[in-house]
Amino acid sequence: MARLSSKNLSVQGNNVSILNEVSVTFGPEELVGVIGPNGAGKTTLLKSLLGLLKPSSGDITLDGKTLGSWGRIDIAKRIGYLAQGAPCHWPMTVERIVEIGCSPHSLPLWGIDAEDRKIVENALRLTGISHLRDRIVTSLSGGERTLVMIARCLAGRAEILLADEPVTGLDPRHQIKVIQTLLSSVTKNTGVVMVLHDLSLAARYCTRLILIHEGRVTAEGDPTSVLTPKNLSDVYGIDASLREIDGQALVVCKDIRI
Amino acid sequence: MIPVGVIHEAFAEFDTAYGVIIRELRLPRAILAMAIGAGLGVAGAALQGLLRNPLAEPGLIGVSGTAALGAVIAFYSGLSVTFPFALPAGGMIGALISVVLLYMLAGRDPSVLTLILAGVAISALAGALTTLALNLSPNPYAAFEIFFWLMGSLADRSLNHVALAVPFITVGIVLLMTTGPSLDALTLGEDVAQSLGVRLSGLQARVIIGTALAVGASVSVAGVIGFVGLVVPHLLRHAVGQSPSRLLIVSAPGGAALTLAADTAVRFLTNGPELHLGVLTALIGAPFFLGLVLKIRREG
Repeated sequence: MARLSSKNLSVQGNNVSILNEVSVTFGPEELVGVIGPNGAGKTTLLKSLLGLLKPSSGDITLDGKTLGSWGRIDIAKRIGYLAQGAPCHWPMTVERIVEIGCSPHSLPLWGIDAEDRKIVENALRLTGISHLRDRIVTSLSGGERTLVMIARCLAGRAEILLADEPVTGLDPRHQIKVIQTLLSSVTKNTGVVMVLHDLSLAARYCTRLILIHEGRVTAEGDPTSVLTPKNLSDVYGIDASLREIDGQALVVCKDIRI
Repeated sequence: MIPVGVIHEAFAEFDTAYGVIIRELRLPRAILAMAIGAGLGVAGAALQGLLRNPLAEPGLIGVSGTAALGAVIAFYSGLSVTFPFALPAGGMIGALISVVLLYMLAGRDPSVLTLILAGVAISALAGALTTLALNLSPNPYAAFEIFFWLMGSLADRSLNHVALAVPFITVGIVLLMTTGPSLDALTLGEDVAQSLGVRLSGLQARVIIGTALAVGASVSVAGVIGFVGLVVPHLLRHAVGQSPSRLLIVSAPGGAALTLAADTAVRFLTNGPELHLGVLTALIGAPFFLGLVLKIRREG
């Protein structure tokens, strides 16, 4: 059970402060939504937690040890990363991309071994893309591509998955399919952190929300305590509120505030 | 086909005409063709994986050009007349300098774009200096010699050339082969590759140093044999499902086979002066390159 946390994390880029004294903790058994306006620092937070960006101050710890003292491979075994836009540079098959996900655990010269084969099959099944295994990833739709990358993350067996805007730009069906797949991968040993912009989906599926504004954590907690009219007004500049329709959470936005 | 008896003569150290021809002329040439072809093929596949661009070629990061410059300087200074091995040594030093320059230009952790731009700048500089040497040459025969050498050829190479180049090419190929899994991960972008455990700076260093060894040693004994690193990976990419690690592995025998075939062809294609190997690979490779550019443009 991995636990990933930051304490007073500050990150600067080109002498501009991107994150300011951010303290968060992520662990198993929850789907955490990281929300906030464009440019708030959400992606920077994920990249810092992965060790891809160097903090200007503050600490990041993984299982109580500072992230810098972990080797790249050991971090890779514990933290998975779903990049924004599911990039793929060569027209490879779905199956091969999912196989690459096993690489933190084994680096075979040509194929993968029987144990990894089972894990790949399981990942394809859990994400519901077994029938796409021989398709070329770059020819798939955005939604299918995102599912392929989730399967790739599952094959990596990470305990914490950091997903950067996995549902942005997808149709409603694929948005829900992707979130349900991520939710189904949350177990008593694993957790998922997801950056997203759709506040209704965030309210409906996330167990906890972290609202980031101008590089700071403005609010944190369960959806009803975070998505208050005041927070929505202060952070997004919108006149909105969290409602419930047919038992489903919905953020209704009436107007923007000037 | 070579009769079995001839092979027996060659390797039983019989000083017959066949034996001498095979051991002293054909064998070194065939070994060099295969080693250089394998080196260029693998270097091309590795560079394409690193830059995630099917048009990337060993010449791109300036290694071929600077290796050629190093050898030209050895020619021009007259060192190669006194010490025959100053020529290959110059080529390898040139390749080494290009790698160091690349690091100075692109920094410790260069982005792909910076790497390409740095390579283009180094190639341009090496090309300009090579032309300058040709231009200022006081001895027209030396200029002529340089000009012919730049065309790339394996004619009249000895086992000494093999001993000097093949060990470096082999080390280069081995180093490049170790980058396979990291290049596979890089298919998913630099950030994801790092999240999968790839150390980006280490990967870049291995690809660049491996390429410098393989290409630098090749150019130093054979001149510039272009496009092998482009054509071979392209022909084989589809067969291995586009996987960069598998492409690395098959590009070694692929490059060896293609270069050996091309070198055999130049010996028979013309009756008069032998066609240079580099001229043949450029004649085949350049239109191939053009076609590839058009294909990529069409696919957007």
